[in-house]
Amino acid sequence: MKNNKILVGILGVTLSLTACKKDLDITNVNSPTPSSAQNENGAIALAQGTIYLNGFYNLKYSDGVYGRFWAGAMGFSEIMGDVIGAEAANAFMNQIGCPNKVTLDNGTVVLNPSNPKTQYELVRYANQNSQGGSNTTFYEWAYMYNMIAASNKILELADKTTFTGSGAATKKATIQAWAYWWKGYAYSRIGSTYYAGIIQNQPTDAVLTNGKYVSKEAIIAEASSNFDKAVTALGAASSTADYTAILGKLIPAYLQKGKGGILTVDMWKRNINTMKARNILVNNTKASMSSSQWSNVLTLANDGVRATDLVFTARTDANGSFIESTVADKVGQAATTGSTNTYKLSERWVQEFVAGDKRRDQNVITLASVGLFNTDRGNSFNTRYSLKYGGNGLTGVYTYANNTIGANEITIAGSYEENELMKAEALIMTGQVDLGAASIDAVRTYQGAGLAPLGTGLTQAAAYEQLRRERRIALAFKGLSFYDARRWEIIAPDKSRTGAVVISSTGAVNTNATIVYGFLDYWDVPDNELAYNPAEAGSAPTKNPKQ
Amino acid sequence: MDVIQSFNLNYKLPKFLELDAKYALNYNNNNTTYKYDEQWGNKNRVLQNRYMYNYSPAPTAFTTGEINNFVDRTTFQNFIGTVNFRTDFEKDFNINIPLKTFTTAAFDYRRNQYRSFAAAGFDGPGYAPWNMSQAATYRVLTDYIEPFVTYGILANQRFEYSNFTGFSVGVRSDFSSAFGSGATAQTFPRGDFFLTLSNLKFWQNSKISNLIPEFKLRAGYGEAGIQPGAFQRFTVLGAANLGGSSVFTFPTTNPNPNLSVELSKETEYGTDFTLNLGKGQWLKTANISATLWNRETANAIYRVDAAPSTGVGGKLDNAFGLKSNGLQASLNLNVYSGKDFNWDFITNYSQQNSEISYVKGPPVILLSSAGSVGITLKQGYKIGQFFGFKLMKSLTEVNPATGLPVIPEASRSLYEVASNGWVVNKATKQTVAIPGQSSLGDPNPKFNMSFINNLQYKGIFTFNMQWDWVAGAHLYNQTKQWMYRDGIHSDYDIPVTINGETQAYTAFYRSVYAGGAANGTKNYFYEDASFWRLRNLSFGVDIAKLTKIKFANRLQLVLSGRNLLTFTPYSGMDPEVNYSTNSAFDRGLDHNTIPNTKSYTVGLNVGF
Repeated sequence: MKNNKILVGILGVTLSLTACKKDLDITNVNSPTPSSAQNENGAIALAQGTIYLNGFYNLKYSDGVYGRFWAGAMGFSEIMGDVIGAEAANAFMNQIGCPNKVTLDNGTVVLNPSNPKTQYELVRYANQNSQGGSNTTFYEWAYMYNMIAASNKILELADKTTFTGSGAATKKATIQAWAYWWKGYAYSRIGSTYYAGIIQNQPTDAVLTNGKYVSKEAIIAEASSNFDKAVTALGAASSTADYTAILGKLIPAYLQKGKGGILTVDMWKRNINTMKARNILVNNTKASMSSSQWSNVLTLANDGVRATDLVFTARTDANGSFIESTVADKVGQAATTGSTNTYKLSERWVQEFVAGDKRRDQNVITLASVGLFNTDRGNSFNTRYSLKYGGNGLTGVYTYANNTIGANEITIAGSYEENELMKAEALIMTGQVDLGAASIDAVRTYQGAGLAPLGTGLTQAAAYEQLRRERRIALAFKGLSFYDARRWEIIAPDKSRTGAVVISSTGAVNTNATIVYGFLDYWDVPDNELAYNPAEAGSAPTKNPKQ
Repeated sequence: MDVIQSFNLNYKLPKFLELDAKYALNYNNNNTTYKYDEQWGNKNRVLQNRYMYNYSPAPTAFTTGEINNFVDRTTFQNFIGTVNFRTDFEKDFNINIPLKTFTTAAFDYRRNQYRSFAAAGFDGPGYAPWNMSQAATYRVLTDYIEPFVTYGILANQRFEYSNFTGFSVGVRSDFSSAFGSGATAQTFPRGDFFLTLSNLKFWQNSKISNLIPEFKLRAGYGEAGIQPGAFQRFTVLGAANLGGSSVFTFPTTNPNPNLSVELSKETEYGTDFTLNLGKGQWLKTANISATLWNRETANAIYRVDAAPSTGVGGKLDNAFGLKSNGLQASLNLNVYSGKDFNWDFITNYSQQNSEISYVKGPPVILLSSAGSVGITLKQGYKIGQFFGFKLMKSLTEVNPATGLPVIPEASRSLYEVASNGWVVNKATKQTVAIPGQSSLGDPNPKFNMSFINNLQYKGIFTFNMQWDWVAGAHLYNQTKQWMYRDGIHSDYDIPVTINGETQAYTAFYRSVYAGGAANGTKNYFYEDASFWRLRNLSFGVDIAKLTKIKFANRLQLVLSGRNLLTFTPYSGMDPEVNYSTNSAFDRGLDHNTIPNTKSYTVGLNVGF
């Protein structure tokens, strides 16, 4: 009898457990799911995090040496723009800036000592799927497509989310403007760096893409189209209070200081104009720009970012940010020592300062001994200089590097300086030299250069030379330097830069060296993309035909 | 702390049937606390601006002092209800057939709940004692719960006929929370079989039993499934801090709602037998055992790349399949067995071979945990096979991508094969890399063997010697490569003859490092790591037995040495290292790995 009770007990337990199929429906309570983003706060959290963190920070490959987008991907661009150099070989960053040939003052020719021997070959060599994270060309592409797919998800959510209150339409429009703006931004970078791209309209969580590659020109057109959609969306943001409230949440509070903050609708439109002007300017060589293109640049720049406008910025933050350091921070040092940071300051950059420029006094420090680096990695980046964190204490003078958390503000899209210099260039190139010179002066004043005004009566060539130097200095470390080198046509294998300051491997200072860079103007589509997303029939070529 | 509670109810009917119910509750709790005190008084801090911290987001020399608290708790419940049904035809039914049957049916329910919580406090108050509540800032590092439920039935039917043959077949079928309640159960069969021929009458009566007194054949087959991780099928967003806001991000690796179970099938054939060899004291018996196995895995779950334009880095997928097979054999030979002297010789042999049977999509590019060593999962290639650059060894080598010679015939005169076998440019002394990466070969050994001799004399002297032989193994010597980078490897002093001149050309060695890709994997550092090693040598003498001292009946002095001799072509410190035993991909890698030590031991065993 007792045994039977036990038996019944066992069967009872067994049966009750068998009935537990619903036990199998566990949930992951640790992480939000895509449905968590389908209310106003969730949509904002997604619109903010996926743009900043997926777009600039989170990638399958990363390396602490060159860092994320704002130190790595943009660092590569600055390396090729000869603003910085690198000795470490991570992602071939020591080689992508290796010129084909340097002729020193005494006629000694130093060829690119690396293997492969030219940057053209190197870029093709790095750009193989099997290189994984060593593929230099992977980063900018992957970060920017992260941003584009995230923008698509934000647009999808903007349609699905029920926004509250009387300003619901404005809230939705603001979020849409946000997504279109960043999409335009990302396509601008893709189209200005790669030979071809993809127009991607799928959200991130779909994990889908398409194999229809289009030309870089079509990508820039797509950027413009998204900027136009952002302008349209901004036009629909009729309730200023709701617009301000939403944008105030989209732009993290820690960025709402300095030049960062809640842009008015008009400021944002001017930021868009600056980006559109940039897309024209940097994707045509200076020589090939038509007068109508100059006039378009001028029209856009005239309605571009003003000195008092807020812009899109980045800073580090103790509680988490999308930059851990900037390009300049990877150059900078707290004090003069014999050693250097990851990125080495280029002599060619320092030589661009006009004599007496306070920005040089503020930022450039001389190393205790000349920085001579591995000669088998090319010696064009030996240097006497570095940047000082936080500057040398000159008030009102621009500083490039600052590793104190939150102290270094960088502009991540357009800036007043960039806009004003585009205006200056268009004016100079359309014969309004004095007005152009005044714009250069305005930028110098804005950054506290302390230089005498250029005044009137400069020749076009002299004014342009001032403009060239000012662009090199004022817009350094922002991912624009390579674009300039390209459009000024000094990077092609059959072109060169003369009068360059070069420290030879023995430490000798050459002041009239000639550098043949020989850099590829637009990168091929990264092989990691092509391996998983081959080009369909009818696609634009994915490889730059330059060999 | 680990608390294990189990309850067992067992009910046996007089015959045939046995009922059993087990319930176990395993509660495991781990609390770990790290505490770094303020480091104001630390001279390193003062001089070098160095200080210790773990999680402080923005540590400076002035914000030191940190406490981290980790709580990990696992609660595991398991219920197994079993019904066993046994019959013995002879005893139970008085039927004169020596057949026994065993039937098992069971229900198995498992529930695991893992909970992890960790918090940190930073910036100590500057006095002692202090605890986390006095820290200036806090952060919750982890707050994670992972439930996992699986249940299913298993049934097994076994027959044994006398003591010479038997077989069983079974099936196991499980539901899992990794798939949710809507999914069907995963069902896997198994079976085994044995035949002990030496227990048969004809064997025992024939002369063969004098030579082979024991002979057994066995075989087994099983299928099993490895479920995806608890959340590998759940699409989620990440949460992160951006300044003061909590924001959502997309994970760089996407979970995959369509993941299925990893399947594996294993077949095994084996034999065990004993040979009677000599009649005298030499070579009396030999025991031989051999097993041939074959395993196939399909749908292995792995992170594969996604096209970057999708906006994600990769996704989990049933990415590839594996095929492995191997042979294990051992011979235990009684070489001499006398009244005073005994000598046993044991040898073990094993070989195995694993390769990728298929890959879904393009080859999977792996990042070795050593960072820059290239490993690729590609159909037909071995697990752990290295991919890298090949420095040329012959002037006529062809670029596989173009089919053309790497060095065009016109400029071939500028190059030569240096005295050490590598193609170099006569002027620059630099090596030449073939463009593109290719497989460097399979680093896994062809086979492993060990040879063990045990000798003892009158229980007074003992002698043991073990040699290990690993044949055909390779190692990627990344340790050497990094030393080449810094120019600190002694190879830099080895002269090379190039263009008729013999010198220790730095340019040659630098180019070896920089060839292909500066820190890229290349054939130069891929070395034969086969070896013969005297694993163990020991000699013992029992002084008590030798001298017949009275106070002890055992006083054995043992002198032994390990890894005393190694014969290998490998140029690194030890051919027997691997960078990570845990990762099958990284086993052929020497990356500043601590070598095995040569050791000597003196031991004294005392017995009273």
